[in-house]
Amino acid sequence: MRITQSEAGWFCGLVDGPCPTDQWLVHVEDPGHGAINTFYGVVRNHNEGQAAASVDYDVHEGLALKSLAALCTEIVASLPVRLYVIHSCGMVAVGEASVVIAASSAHRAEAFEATRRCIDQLKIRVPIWKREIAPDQSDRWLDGHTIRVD
Amino acid sequence: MQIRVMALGVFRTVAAEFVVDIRDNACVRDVREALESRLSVESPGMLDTLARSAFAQDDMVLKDSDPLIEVDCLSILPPVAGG
Repeated sequence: MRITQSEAGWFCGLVDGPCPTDQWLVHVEDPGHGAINTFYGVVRNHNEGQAAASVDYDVHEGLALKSLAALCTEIVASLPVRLYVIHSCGMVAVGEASVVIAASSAHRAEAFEATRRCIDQLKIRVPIWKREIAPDQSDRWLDGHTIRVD
Repeated sequence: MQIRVMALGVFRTVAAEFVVDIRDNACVRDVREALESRLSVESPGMLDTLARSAFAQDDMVLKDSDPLIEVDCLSILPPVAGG
Protein backbone atom coordinates (compact mmCIF):
# COMPACT_ATOMS: atom_id res chain seq x y z
CA MET A 1 0.00 0.00 0.00
CA ARG A 2 1.20 3.51 -0.85
CA ILE A 3 0.15 5.80 1.98
CA THR A 4 0.19 9.36 3.23
CA GLN A 5 -0.77 10.21 6.78
CA SER A 6 -0.75 13.13 9.17
CA GLU A 7 -0.54 13.62 12.91
CA ALA A 8 -3.58 15.83 12.39
CA GLY A 9 -5.58 12.60 12.38
CA TRP A 10 -5.93 11.27 8.86
CA PHE A 11 -4.56 8.39 6.82
CA CYS A 12 -5.00 7.79 3.09
CA GLY A 13 -3.62 5.22 0.70
CA LEU A 14 -3.78 3.29 -2.55
CA VAL A 15 -3.75 -0.48 -2.67
CA ASP A 16 -3.34 -2.94 -5.54
CA GLY A 17 -6.53 -4.97 -5.99
CA PRO A 18 -9.43 -5.01 -3.56
CA CYS A 19 -9.26 -2.92 -0.41
CA PRO A 20 -8.78 -4.73 2.88
CA THR A 21 -11.69 -4.05 5.23
CA ASP A 22 -9.95 -5.02 8.45
CA GLN A 23 -7.26 -2.38 8.78
CA TRP A 24 -9.06 0.89 9.42
CA LEU A 25 -9.79 0.64 13.16
CA VAL A 26 -6.26 1.33 14.39
CA HIS A 27 -6.24 4.56 12.38
CA VAL A 28 -9.46 6.06 13.76
CA GLU A 29 -9.86 4.67 17.29
CA ASP A 30 -9.62 7.35 19.94
CA PRO A 31 -10.64 7.15 23.61
CA GLY A 32 -12.45 10.46 23.24
CA HIS A 33 -14.47 9.30 20.24
CA GLY A 34 -17.80 7.63 20.81
CA ALA A 35 -18.77 7.18 17.17
CA ILE A 36 -17.17 5.38 14.24
CA ASN A 37 -18.81 5.38 10.82
CA THR A 38 -17.57 3.32 7.88
CA PHE A 39 -18.32 3.31 4.16
CA TYR A 40 -17.31 0.55 1.76
CA GLY A 41 -17.68 1.13 -1.96
CA VAL A 42 -18.23 -2.33 -3.43
CA VAL A 43 -18.20 -3.38 -7.08
CA ARG A 44 -21.74 -4.38 -8.06
CA ASN A 45 -22.85 -6.78 -10.75
CA HIS A 46 -24.70 -4.24 -12.87
CA ASN A 47 -24.39 -0.64 -13.98
CA GLU A 48 -26.62 1.46 -16.21
CA GLY A 49 -28.59 -1.62 -17.20
CA GLN A 50 -25.54 -3.68 -18.13
CA ALA A 51 -24.08 -6.68 -16.33
CA ALA A 52 -20.64 -6.27 -14.77
CA ALA A 53 -18.09 -8.79 -13.52
CA SER A 54 -15.28 -6.52 -12.37
CA VAL A 55 -13.82 -3.03 -12.55
CA ASP A 56 -10.25 -2.17 -13.49
CA TYR A 57 -9.20 1.04 -11.74
CA ASP A 58 -6.67 3.20 -13.54
CA VAL A 59 -4.98 5.69 -11.20
CA HIS A 60 -2.53 8.57 -11.51
CA GLU A 61 -0.92 7.52 -8.27
CA GLY A 62 1.11 10.61 -7.41
CA LEU A 63 -1.72 12.99 -8.08
CA ALA A 64 -4.30 10.70 -6.48
CA LEU A 65 -2.37 10.50 -3.23
CA LYS A 66 -1.91 14.28 -3.28
CA SER A 67 -5.65 14.77 -3.92
CA LEU A 68 -6.64 12.33 -1.18
CA ALA A 69 -4.29 14.06 1.26
CA ALA A 70 -5.75 17.46 0.38
CA LEU A 71 -9.26 16.10 0.83
CA CYS A 72 -8.43 14.57 4.20
CA THR A 73 -6.72 17.77 5.33
CA GLU A 74 -9.82 19.81 4.44
CA ILE A 75 -12.20 17.46 6.23
CA VAL A 76 -10.13 17.13 9.38
CA ALA A 77 -9.65 20.90 9.48
CA SER A 78 -13.40 21.49 9.38
CA LEU A 79 -14.72 18.58 11.44
CA PRO A 80 -13.40 17.13 14.74
CA VAL A 81 -12.76 13.67 13.31
CA ARG A 82 -10.10 11.08 12.64
CA LEU A 83 -10.31 9.90 9.05
CA TYR A 84 -9.11 6.88 7.04
CA VAL A 85 -9.57 6.39 3.29
CA ILE A 86 -8.02 3.89 0.90
CA HIS A 87 -8.79 3.21 -2.77
CA SER A 88 -8.01 0.34 -5.10
CA CYS A 89 -5.75 0.31 -8.14
CA GLY A 90 -6.26 -2.39 -10.77
CA MET A 91 -8.79 -5.20 -10.84
CA VAL A 92 -11.60 -5.50 -8.31
CA ALA A 93 -14.29 -8.16 -8.73
CA VAL A 94 -17.98 -7.97 -7.95
CA GLY A 95 -18.50 -8.04 -4.19
CA GLU A 96 -15.04 -6.72 -3.38
CA ALA A 97 -14.37 -3.28 -1.92
CA SER A 98 -12.78 -0.61 -4.11
CA VAL A 99 -12.86 2.13 -1.49
CA VAL A 100 -12.94 2.02 2.31
CA ILE A 101 -13.58 5.09 4.44
CA ALA A 102 -13.77 5.27 8.21
CA ALA A 103 -14.34 8.33 10.37
CA SER A 104 -14.50 8.63 14.13
CA SER A 105 -15.65 11.53 16.27
CA ALA A 106 -16.91 12.30 19.74
CA HIS A 107 -20.49 12.23 18.48
CA ARG A 108 -22.11 10.58 15.47
CA ALA A 109 -23.06 13.61 13.38
CA GLU A 110 -19.48 14.55 12.55
CA ALA A 111 -18.52 10.97 11.69
CA PHE A 112 -21.49 10.67 9.30
CA GLU A 113 -20.69 14.04 7.73
CA ALA A 114 -16.99 13.31 7.29
CA THR A 115 -17.68 9.96 5.64
CA ARG A 116 -20.24 11.37 3.22
CA ARG A 117 -18.09 14.36 2.34
CA CYS A 118 -15.09 12.12 1.75
CA ILE A 119 -16.77 9.75 -0.72
CA ASP A 120 -18.68 12.55 -2.48
CA GLN A 121 -15.54 14.61 -3.02
CA LEU A 122 -13.34 11.62 -3.85
CA LYS A 123 -15.60 10.75 -6.77
CA ILE A 124 -15.28 14.19 -8.37
CA ARG A 125 -11.72 15.20 -7.47
CA VAL A 126 -9.35 12.25 -7.34
CA PRO A 127 -7.76 11.11 -10.64
CA ILE A 128 -9.11 7.59 -10.82
CA TRP A 129 -10.85 6.01 -13.81
CA LYS A 130 -13.05 2.93 -14.11
CA ARG A 131 -12.90 0.35 -16.90
CA GLU A 132 -15.93 -1.81 -16.38
CA ILE A 133 -15.62 -5.41 -17.54
CA ALA A 134 -18.70 -7.46 -18.42
CA PRO A 135 -19.13 -11.20 -17.85
CA ASP A 136 -18.31 -11.77 -21.56
CA GLN A 137 -15.04 -9.79 -21.04
CA SER A 138 -16.16 -6.84 -23.18
CA ASP A 139 -15.27 -3.57 -21.52
CA ARG A 140 -16.06 0.12 -21.44
CA TRP A 141 -14.59 3.18 -19.73
CA LEU A 142 -17.05 5.09 -17.56
CA ASP A 143 -17.50 8.82 -17.90
CA GLY A 144 -16.99 11.10 -14.93
CA HIS A 145 -16.33 14.61 -13.66
CA THR A 146 -13.89 17.01 -15.21
CA ILE A 147 -10.98 18.20 -13.08
CA ARG A 148 -9.98 20.99 -15.43
CA VAL A 149 -8.92 24.02 -13.41
CA ASP A 150 -9.64 26.62 -16.09
CA MET B 1 9.78 20.96 -29.33
CA GLN B 2 8.31 17.54 -28.61
CA ILE B 3 6.07 16.74 -25.66
CA ARG B 4 5.11 13.23 -24.64
CA VAL B 5 1.57 13.00 -23.26
CA MET B 6 0.92 9.88 -21.20
CA ALA B 7 -2.57 8.48 -21.70
CA LEU B 8 -4.81 7.63 -18.76
CA GLY B 9 -8.32 6.28 -18.53
CA VAL B 10 -10.26 6.18 -21.78
CA PHE B 11 -7.35 7.71 -23.71
CA ARG B 12 -5.58 4.37 -23.32
CA THR B 13 -7.99 3.06 -25.97
CA VAL B 14 -6.30 5.38 -28.47
CA ALA B 15 -2.61 5.13 -27.51
CA ALA B 16 -0.34 4.50 -24.53
CA GLU B 17 1.14 7.94 -25.13
CA PHE B 18 0.93 10.76 -27.64
CA VAL B 19 3.93 12.65 -28.96
CA VAL B 20 3.12 16.13 -30.18
CA ASP B 21 5.31 18.72 -31.88
CA ILE B 22 4.69 22.25 -30.67
CA ARG B 23 6.48 25.56 -30.89
CA ASP B 24 9.15 26.54 -28.40
CA ASN B 25 7.88 28.49 -25.40
CA ALA B 26 4.46 26.94 -25.85
CA CYS B 27 1.80 26.57 -23.21
CA VAL B 28 -0.57 23.76 -22.26
CA ARG B 29 -3.17 25.10 -24.68
CA ASP B 30 -0.81 24.34 -27.56
CA VAL B 31 -0.63 20.71 -26.47
CA ARG B 32 -4.42 20.55 -26.28
CA GLU B 33 -4.73 21.99 -29.78
CA ALA B 34 -2.15 19.57 -31.17
CA LEU B 35 -4.07 16.68 -29.68
CA GLU B 36 -7.33 18.06 -31.08
CA SER B 37 -5.81 18.00 -34.54
CA ARG B 38 -4.60 14.44 -34.13
CA LEU B 39 -7.80 13.09 -32.57
CA SER B 40 -10.04 14.80 -35.10
CA VAL B 41 -8.47 12.47 -37.64
CA GLU B 42 -7.75 9.33 -35.62
CA SER B 43 -10.55 9.29 -33.08
CA PRO B 44 -13.09 12.09 -33.45
CA GLY B 45 -15.33 10.51 -30.84
CA MET B 46 -12.73 11.50 -28.23
CA LEU B 47 -12.90 15.24 -28.89
CA ASP B 48 -15.62 15.92 -26.32
CA THR B 49 -13.64 14.00 -23.71
CA LEU B 50 -10.51 15.94 -24.63
CA ALA B 51 -12.38 19.21 -24.08
CA ARG B 52 -13.25 18.06 -20.55
CA SER B 53 -9.78 16.73 -19.79
CA ALA B 54 -7.02 18.31 -17.75
CA PHE B 55 -3.27 18.05 -18.15
CA ALA B 56 -0.81 17.39 -15.36
CA GLN B 57 2.93 17.65 -14.94
CA ASP B 58 3.97 15.11 -12.33
CA ASP B 59 1.44 15.65 -9.52
CA MET B 60 0.37 19.18 -10.52
CA VAL B 61 -2.78 19.88 -12.54
CA LEU B 62 -2.06 22.65 -15.04
CA LYS B 63 -4.10 25.45 -16.57
CA ASP B 64 -4.22 25.84 -20.33
CA SER B 65 -2.37 29.12 -19.97
CA ASP B 66 0.53 27.59 -18.03
CA PRO B 67 3.82 27.79 -19.94
CA LEU B 68 5.81 24.65 -20.69
CA ILE B 69 9.32 25.48 -19.57
CA GLU B 70 11.77 22.59 -19.52
CA VAL B 71 8.84 20.19 -19.73
CA ASP B 72 8.99 17.11 -21.93
CA CYS B 73 6.22 14.95 -20.46
CA LEU B 74 2.64 15.55 -19.37
CA SER B 75 -0.28 13.33 -18.43
CA ILE B 76 -3.77 13.75 -19.82
CA LEU B 77 -6.52 13.36 -17.22
CA PRO B 78 -9.98 12.59 -18.59
CA PRO B 79 -13.04 13.17 -16.37
CA VAL B 80 -12.56 11.19 -13.16
CA ALA B 81 -14.77 8.41 -11.88
CA GLY B 82 -13.36 6.88 -8.72
CA GLY B 83 -15.19 5.17 -5.92
